[in-house]
Amino acid sequence: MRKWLPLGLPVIFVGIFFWLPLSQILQLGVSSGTANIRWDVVWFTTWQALVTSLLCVLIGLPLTYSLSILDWRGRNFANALAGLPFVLPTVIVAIALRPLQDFLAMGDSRSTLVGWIVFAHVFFNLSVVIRLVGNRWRLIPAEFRETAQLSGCGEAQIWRYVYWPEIRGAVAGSATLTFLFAWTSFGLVLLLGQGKVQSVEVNIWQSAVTYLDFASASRLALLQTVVTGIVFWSSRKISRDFGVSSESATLRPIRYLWQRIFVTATLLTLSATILLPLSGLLIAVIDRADSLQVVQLSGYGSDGTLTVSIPRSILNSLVNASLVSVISVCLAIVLAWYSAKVLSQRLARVLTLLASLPLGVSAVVLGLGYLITFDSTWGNFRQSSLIVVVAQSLIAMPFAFQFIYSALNALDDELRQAAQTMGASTQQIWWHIYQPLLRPALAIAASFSFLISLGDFGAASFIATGEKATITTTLYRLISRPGGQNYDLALLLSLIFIVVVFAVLYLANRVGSQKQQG
Amino acid sequence: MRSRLIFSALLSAFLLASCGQEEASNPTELTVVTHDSFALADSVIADFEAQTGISVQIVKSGDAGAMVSQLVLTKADPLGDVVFGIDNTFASRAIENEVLLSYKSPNSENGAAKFNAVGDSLTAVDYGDVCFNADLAWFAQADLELPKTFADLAKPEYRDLTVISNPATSSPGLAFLAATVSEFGVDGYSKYWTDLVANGVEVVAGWEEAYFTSFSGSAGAGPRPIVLSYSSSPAAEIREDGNSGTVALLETCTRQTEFVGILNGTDNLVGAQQFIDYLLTAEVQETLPSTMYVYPVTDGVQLPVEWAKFAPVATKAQLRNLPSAEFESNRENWLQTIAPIIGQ
Repeated sequence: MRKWLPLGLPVIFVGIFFWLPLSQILQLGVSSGTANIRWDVVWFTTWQALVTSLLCVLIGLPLTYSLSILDWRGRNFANALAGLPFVLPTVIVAIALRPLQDFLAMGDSRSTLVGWIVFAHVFFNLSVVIRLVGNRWRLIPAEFRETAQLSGCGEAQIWRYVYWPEIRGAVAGSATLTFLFAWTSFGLVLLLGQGKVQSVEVNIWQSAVTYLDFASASRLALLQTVVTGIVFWSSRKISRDFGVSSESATLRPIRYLWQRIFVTATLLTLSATILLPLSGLLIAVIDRADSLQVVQLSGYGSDGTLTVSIPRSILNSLVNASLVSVISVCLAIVLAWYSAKVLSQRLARVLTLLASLPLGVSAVVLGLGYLITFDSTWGNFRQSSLIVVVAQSLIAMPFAFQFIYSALNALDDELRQAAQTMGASTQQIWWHIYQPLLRPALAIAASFSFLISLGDFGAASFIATGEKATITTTLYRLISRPGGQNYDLALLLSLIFIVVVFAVLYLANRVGSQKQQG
Repeated sequence: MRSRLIFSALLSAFLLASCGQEEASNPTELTVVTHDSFALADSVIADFEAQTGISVQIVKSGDAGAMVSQLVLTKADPLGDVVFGIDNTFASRAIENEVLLSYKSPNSENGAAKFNAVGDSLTAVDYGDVCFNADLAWFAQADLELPKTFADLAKPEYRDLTVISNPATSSPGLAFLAATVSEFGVDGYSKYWTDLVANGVEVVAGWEEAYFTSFSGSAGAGPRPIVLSYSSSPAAEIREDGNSGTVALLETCTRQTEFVGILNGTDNLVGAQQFIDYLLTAEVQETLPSTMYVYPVTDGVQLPVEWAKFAPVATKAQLRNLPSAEFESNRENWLQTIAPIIGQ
């Protein structure tokens, strides 16, 4: 019995905070009246998510090669840059993309709008591919390549027969995640689609909020749950065969011309897709440089637009994000441990699925589920700041789980058995054997969770108000009021946000790759 | 061992958080449910707490539409005691779903009652006029006369100059759509929207993008000199010469009134009533322009200088308004009529 106690932690957490509210709201919605499902919207959402996922992999693989495999100066910097869009609030993206959109002047026909949406989805999610595939790729022993070369394999054959079989699982995993992000996307579709393009999630929001039609909203959420389940189930390789850490992995020095070309192409791609929009933001700031000088960062906007000062909102964000990364990483460790080392494969797969579903299910519907589930018999939990941390942890945990689980799977059991034979306790094994080996995976898991919380607006906007305001809710507040000073503060806060995120990414990268370089 | 410790720590933190507030039924507390744009000065709330001994908790629930949907959903076990910020476009949804209790504040006689066309369950607190704004410098430089009416915006001389926020996704957009129904009638509004789109109107998702990235008269310095915004916005665009850089076109206005109401199921009825009375006092009303960018409803309340000078409101004759009940029965129909026109 004692053996199963820790497993209760993630199970209870996901059960209470995901499955319970979801089932309550679905029950209410499905039992109330007839629904009107827009199948054209479902179809659009699905195909754009497929295209996004495909493009992410196609563009992401060459980027992964240069960012995760090759060793060159500025690699860490470029890596952090690639991860940046993943957490930018959509409002910043709109401001940043605007000069580019104006410059290209492609109009606002539906196909142009859809094009921008897919563009944004791809570059928001590229880092998922780079991270997941890169970590697996680094594990391929250098001897594989040398052996292949000795047996007369050409470069193309090496990629086909040596690299691909090894990274296939990681590619499938990252394709799954990018598909789900694009499939449940809300803010970007709303903003870049100018309210004219509907995705399933936008449709859910409109049904629930504009039309008070919970029947349609909850049926669509049910559809999301089913699709997410199918996607996870069918990509069963997702986390089975890619690992994150190993001391054997080393970065490769650049030897050939074609590798140089890869790196150059990577830098060009990153510049065009990430630096260019960001410089749009920078241009806007420089444009306003005169008035920015009089803006006081510690102020509250014009006429006290803000309820807390900006430094305070940054602090709030950092505290939330730290809590989220601790909670999600702790829960993910337990879940990953049982799935990888204790449970049967079949049981592990079911458990993984149940814990991963929060990634693909509507935040709008879940938010409504919270309201009816955690009623006054729960005290005022539904109105406390804990709920933001809980909601963000639910989204972050599946991520953390993926990283840690695959790392655990990649470790061989001989070390543990040897230690056990020599009389080491479970704690000693964990602390002296697994912990050092898992450190890169833990660093990545923690940093992803941290960033998911930092960039979140949906959950935060529910509750992170008044003294609890975060960077994103403050930003939104500034930008929803007229006045030059508010606009300037918003721009400045966006830049600060980007710097903070960049710093986190950069540090995580260094911690993550220390092992390999050392 | 370690994980069991963590587990019990988490569990006790959770229990503390959820049980620590058991005395929520104690009438010394008042929970105010409101929308994201709500902002009262801390001192205003503190004064109320000092006067009554009631401590106030503010709960924000998304935009006005999301807030009302949540109130309907949680009717059996309401989210709080008072709701602030239901506007005339969602008032009848709240009333029809019986989430509110009737209350007539004695203070509403000083002006608020004039704004109240929805019955006793909601009390007007503030209002704002949704109007088109124009960039004065742009029009001066182009030597073009300012447009005056909705119809003007569809004329060739104002081609490609206007940006609006989508009625399907923004509150000023929906107010504008209803105003065009009021102006052109149920048979005429779809033709007007067709003309507007043919004249190159830009439709974006929300007010923020329209105002800060498309409008030329804001700090974002976009390309278009006419934007759907509020009559109060020019007061926030004072240039170095002391004049406003923008102006509201008062014949294109529709009024959004914000109400406060008592939630059916409150356990602090007296406190809720006191809070509503307090919101209508001059002390609170005079802070509304600077904190929420809205106008006070109580008579004789001074507006800030720049508001008095640059942010006049529309007269009754200029306003294009529809009764609140029309919104609930026609919202879906209106939106679906214009969706294909604006390219949805």
